[in-house]
Amino acid sequence: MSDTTTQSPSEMEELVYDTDGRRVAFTLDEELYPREAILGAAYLFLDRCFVFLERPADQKVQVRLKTKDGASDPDALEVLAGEFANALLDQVVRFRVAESTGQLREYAFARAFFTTPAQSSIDQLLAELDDEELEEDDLEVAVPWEQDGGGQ
Amino acid sequence: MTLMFSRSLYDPDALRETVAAYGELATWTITVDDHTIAVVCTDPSPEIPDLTDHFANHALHLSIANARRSSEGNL
Amino acid sequence: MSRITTKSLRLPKRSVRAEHLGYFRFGRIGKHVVLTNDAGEWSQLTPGEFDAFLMGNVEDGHPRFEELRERGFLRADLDLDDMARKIRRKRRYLGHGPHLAVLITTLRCNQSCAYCHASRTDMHRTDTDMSLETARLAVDHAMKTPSPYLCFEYQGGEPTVNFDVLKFCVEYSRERNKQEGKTLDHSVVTNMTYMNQERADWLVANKVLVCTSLDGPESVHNANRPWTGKKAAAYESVVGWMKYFNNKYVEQGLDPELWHVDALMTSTKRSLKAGNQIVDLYVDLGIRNIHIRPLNPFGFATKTWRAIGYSMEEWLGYYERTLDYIIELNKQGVQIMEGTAATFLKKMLTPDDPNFVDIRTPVGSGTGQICYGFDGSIFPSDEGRMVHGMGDSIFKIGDVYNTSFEEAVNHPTVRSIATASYLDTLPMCATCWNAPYCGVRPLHNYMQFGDLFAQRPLTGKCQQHMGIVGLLFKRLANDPDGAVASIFRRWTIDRPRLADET
Repeated sequence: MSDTTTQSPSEMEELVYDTDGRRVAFTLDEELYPREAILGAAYLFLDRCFVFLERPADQKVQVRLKTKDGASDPDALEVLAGEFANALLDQVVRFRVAESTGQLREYAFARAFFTTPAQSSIDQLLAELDDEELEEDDLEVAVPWEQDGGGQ
Repeated sequence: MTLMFSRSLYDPDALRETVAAYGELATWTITVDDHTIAVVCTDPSPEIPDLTDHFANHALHLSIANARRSSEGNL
Repeated sequence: MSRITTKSLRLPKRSVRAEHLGYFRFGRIGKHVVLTNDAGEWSQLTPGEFDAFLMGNVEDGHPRFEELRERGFLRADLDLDDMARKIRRKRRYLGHGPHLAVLITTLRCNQSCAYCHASRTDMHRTDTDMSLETARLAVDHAMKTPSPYLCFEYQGGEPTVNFDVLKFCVEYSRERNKQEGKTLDHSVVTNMTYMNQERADWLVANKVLVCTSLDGPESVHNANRPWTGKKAAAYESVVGWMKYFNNKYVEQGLDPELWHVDALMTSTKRSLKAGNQIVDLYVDLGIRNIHIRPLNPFGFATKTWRAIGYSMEEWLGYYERTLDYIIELNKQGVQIMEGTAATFLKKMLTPDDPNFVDIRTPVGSGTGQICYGFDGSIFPSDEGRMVHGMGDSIFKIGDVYNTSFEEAVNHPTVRSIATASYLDTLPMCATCWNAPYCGVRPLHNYMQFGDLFAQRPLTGKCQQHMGIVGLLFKRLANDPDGAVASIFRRWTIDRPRLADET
């Protein structure tokens, strides 16, 4: 098993951002990046940046990150943009997984904390989930731009 | 200075709470319509640089926290 | 205004086959991706393995398949009833009620520590002593907890200054317990400066656990903890009494592994250069558990913070160096563990949770502990009492004269604290890889930011907990001979001490 994933050029996509002296701004499409994932990623940057969200059009969210220390180092802004992109992509994965496993979690927690077993049996639940179009999920979720550690 | 927050992204209650929390640092006036929450900041404290940016961060924090509590979303 | 430039990042795509996966959280720690789930299970994958996992390519025959399947990360053969049993066991504390009752026997203290938040008063202030009547009502109140185990922890001020009340609480609770049938422990948190032989012998004879503060070698300890009216004597006193107690336990035939004075240390700027020396001192004194704790960054004048404070990054660097030294000593056969690491390791490596009230969800304030002030005021925790001492009574939830136990633990303030510390409802925490092991401190948030929730990324506790657990995962990932895992597992073993038998 290789530790790296080789991607052909056709499997790459571009994420465009604007930058000026202290700011980085991404305009994101909610079709690709669910609102919850955008908000989740924005939240992670509250310590380092001033974060402001705007809605330039339906289904579009603009995320503006402004450095707190007044720094206007272009390299630092580029790193910040990359880190935000990584965080966003991780949040999209989290969103997709939570969406798909919500019923399973609810069942497990209901079984764990309520003495009366949950109404639907586990067999029913798994049968319902099996009926989902398992192979049809073609969500193309981009992977991190640079996998360099650093926690969430 | 006027800050415009989209109601689809920010929670009016979060903005009201932020206005209360930042009440000693400036005079804030808030107006909510169907799509926008407008916050006017006057007489900001000169001791706090980037005051309106701090205000916006707090508003985003509370908006996201409120959204999680009400919808149990996955933020 | 700078010119706006448009740039782009090239991002490789991948599919997520979520329908093949169980629920998990993840984070990137060092060279690995750590997966965790609600049952506290975890796995560390390489980035390539993680991609394969997300794409549903970890199937029967894949080298990580069995591990990921057994731990509930894959949908294949997912046993939700087993997952439910594990979750229930991990959160068993939820149905127990407070198991820790903190009694403030007095606010009087003869030390004036640089970092003290305990709202102390000077030694002549006998009006800040708890009365016997208040003590009786506080014990009655605390013993109404549904928890089958209850630890009375005596704090102050310096609790031994009001020793008669401490003795009364121990004896009265034991008498009451003949009907209640709980398992009781008693623990006194003392700076030893008011200790004498009579008090020490009574504590040993009555099996009251003793916990003290030892911040490090003499120069560090005495600088941190000046003893009012005396010079440079605090260290000598605390070390002398620790030896006295430990010898007494041995004389009584008690197992020194279980019966010894416990010590807590608080790290100031001076400590950051003396990590190894501090550990050596603890080892020399026969202490098996050292808690390397950071300062709480609130309540200080700027001048004081400049003199003793540091950033969380600096503290984590010190923690890492000191933890590695402790691991190295363990490899040489020395038995010493780091207490916070041990708490997290119990969550990571065992099916149980240590129910440490400060690191659980929800936090233990009011649901795992309860605190009785010298005047009978009731608080969800000692921190609530400290805030009250600073003139803000927001966390007072009643008093022993007028408030029933049920009213206190169901108080709206307790509910608010529970809500503010339930990780599944908090942005960032809900999806954080560390959620199964972590806990947040709403009262800390309140003291630092004026808000129970606080912006999560700004809180030092978040950085601290993620830093420590991330470090533990890194050490486990870089452990070719299994020596570190073996040491860490040893730190998770709790041998029950014979608690109060009556």
